[in-house]
Amino acid sequence: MKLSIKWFSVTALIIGTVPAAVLFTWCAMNGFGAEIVRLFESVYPSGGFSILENMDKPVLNRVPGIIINTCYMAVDTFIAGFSFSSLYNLFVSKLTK
Amino acid sequence: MARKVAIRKVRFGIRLKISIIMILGIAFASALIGLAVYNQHESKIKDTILRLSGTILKGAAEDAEQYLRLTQYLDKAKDLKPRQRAAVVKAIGESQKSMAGYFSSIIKKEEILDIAFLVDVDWRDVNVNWNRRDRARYRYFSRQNGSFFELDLYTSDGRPIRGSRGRDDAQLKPTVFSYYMQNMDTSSYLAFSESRKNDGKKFVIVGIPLFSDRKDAAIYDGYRDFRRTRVMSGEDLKKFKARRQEYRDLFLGRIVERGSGVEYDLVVDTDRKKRLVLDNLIGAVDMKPLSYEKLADFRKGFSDMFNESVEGGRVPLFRLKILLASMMKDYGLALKEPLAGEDLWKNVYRHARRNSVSVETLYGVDDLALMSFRMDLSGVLGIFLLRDSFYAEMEKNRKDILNLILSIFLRATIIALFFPTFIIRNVASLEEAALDIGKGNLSRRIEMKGSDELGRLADIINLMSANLEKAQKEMLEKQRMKAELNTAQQIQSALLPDGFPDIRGLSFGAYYMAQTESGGDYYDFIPMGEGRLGLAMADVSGHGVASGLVMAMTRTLLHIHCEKNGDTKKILEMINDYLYANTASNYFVTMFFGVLDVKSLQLRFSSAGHCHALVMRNGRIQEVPAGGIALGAVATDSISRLIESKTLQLQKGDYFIQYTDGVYESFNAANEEYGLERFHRALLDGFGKDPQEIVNHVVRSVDAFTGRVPQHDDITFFIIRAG
Repeated sequence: MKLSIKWFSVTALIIGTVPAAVLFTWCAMNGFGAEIVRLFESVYPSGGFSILENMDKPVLNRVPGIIINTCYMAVDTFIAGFSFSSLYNLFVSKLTK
Repeated sequence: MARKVAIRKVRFGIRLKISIIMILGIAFASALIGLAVYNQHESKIKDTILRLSGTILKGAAEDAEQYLRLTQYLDKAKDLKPRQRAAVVKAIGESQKSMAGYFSSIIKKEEILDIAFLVDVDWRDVNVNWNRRDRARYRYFSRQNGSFFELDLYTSDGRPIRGSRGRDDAQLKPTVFSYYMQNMDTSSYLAFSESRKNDGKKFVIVGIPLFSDRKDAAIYDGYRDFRRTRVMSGEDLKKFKARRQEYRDLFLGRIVERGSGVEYDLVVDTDRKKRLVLDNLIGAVDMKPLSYEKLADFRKGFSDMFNESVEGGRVPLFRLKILLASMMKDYGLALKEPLAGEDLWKNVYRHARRNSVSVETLYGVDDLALMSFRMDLSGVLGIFLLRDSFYAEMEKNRKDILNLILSIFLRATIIALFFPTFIIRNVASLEEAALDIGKGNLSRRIEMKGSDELGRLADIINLMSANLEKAQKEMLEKQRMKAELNTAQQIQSALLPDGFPDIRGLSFGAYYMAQTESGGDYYDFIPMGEGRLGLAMADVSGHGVASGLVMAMTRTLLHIHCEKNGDTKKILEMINDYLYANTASNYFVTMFFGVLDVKSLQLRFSSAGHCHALVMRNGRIQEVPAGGIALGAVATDSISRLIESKTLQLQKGDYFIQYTDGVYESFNAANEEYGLERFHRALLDGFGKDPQEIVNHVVRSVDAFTGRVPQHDDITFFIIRAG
């Protein structure tokens, strides 16, 4: 059975983005999970809008960082979902012929 | 035979094209965003440097201006007494000491400050040609030296030339000084240079302009503000123009007073103004050596040449200079002592302005402002800042921006490569369906959701295939109908005589042309035995297959009854019986039926509402009255009263003609009827000829008359010649 590439990608996006958005917001509020966020930020360049680098400033200064990191997660999980479903469909069609 | 159409392979497909376009777009947008962010960072750093440098340099600006003013005064003032000179030198030393103390204290606090410098623009050396800036004097205060000093001149390969008194600094030459020489901008302190010193350090060089008089700076600040003025109304425009003229006069005056050779015209459009300028010039010449006569001669000559120099009410300054020089040379004169050199022309300018003689120049106000600015510029005070301390953060930001852009670009590229799949999938299903339809499966339909162009295209393809399917069905139906009609025509043709009876003493001619594939006309020659020949001519109402079927029925009935009966009236009555009972009420048949005795040439006939027969005898045509009513229209009881049996005696040489109404009811393009008269004339034209020749002649006559107008009724007629 083939997967719907579009809906599988959207599902992956939702599953990946919502928890990440919660994590980034939580970290921006009280520093919870800073090490995981640091891990993300080490591969998600934010052009100066980092969450952790602005921890000494008011919360509003960390909002752009939350948005940027969440956007990264959304794009990456969508790409992951797309790639997975595309490859799965390819192999299924090849192997079941 | 249809040519086979090749279907191309997709090589550079829509998917690839969309991906490439998207990637290029993303790259372009990323580059723009990166550049914008980079510029923003750069601007921030420049603002910081501007703020810091401005604060530092303004602290020493007053001392620097004092230093320059005194130094330049000392250079110019040749006849100072030793005590006065010592006082000036002392004041210079104090201002230098004050600057050194200031920079020393700053350098201790600000590690970023490396060297302060002062460019002393000595205009006696530099002159109007500011490109000779190597003649300016450069003084430095360095972290190491702790006091001001002059650098040695450097050779082109960077080696110092001893004793050159600090002129021509290779690092400063293309930077701050040039900047102020090219931009009349007192508001900006920045003139960046990414220079690298011998020790490998990178510097940012910043300078501010200095004037010998503080009021000079105020003039240029005022002019800068004036240039930013916005003209919103006619009143504003008037004020703007007046202010511009004021600035033009101001800057021109300052340039002239400085002794620069700027060119201008004196507007001498009245005799009074001419006289004023002329008198002023002549008054500057020492004419004591001249006699009274020579003096009058000089004045007259000068006046004449002056008038010749005036063009359009103006006299250019250079012409006045040439005129004065040549006149003085010719008469061996010189200028009065106080007006020697440039002072004369300053005096001429002042005199003209005092006496309301306008002074105009081709230079724009901006050019004049820049020239004046250059001449007023006394020097440049600047500092070398260590570049790395400012730019370390910027380097980090550059890396961050690059990473950010690469990161976005990579993700966007992946999406750009995947995204067209969603579009191409619909295109592929359209392609497959179109191919299927192209191969002949016209019942194929495409199911596609969405309200985009592809969905619309799918609907259009569905509509096209539905219409093609409908058209195909209609075409097949038409082909079937045509085939059936052809069959009907073949059958009907078989019902008509396939030749003429071979009877001695009689010759025949006939013509039959149905309007459609199947006609409703009928004629026949029926051998009835015992020297009798049946002659039939009938016309079924309407045309087409139905009429053809009625005609076939009529023919069958006629043949059946002819075998049993020789009474023409009786035969028609019997046919009527059958037709009346078995055909629709709108189908009826007009018919002529006669039995010709081939020996006696006696014709017994009956007519059921058919056209009158014709007899052509001795070059004349006679109509044979017929009468009756069409068969199948009324019951036999009624028809027997209307149909009669008649007899006609033919003679040798007579032509007997019978026809249907289609012959004379043919129409041409002008909707004119062919008519019985033309028919009779055509028949008479052929009198004496063979009946078939007459038939052909009549057909040609009808065709010539109707032209390209389609035949609208069946045309049938026959001709029999007796003897």
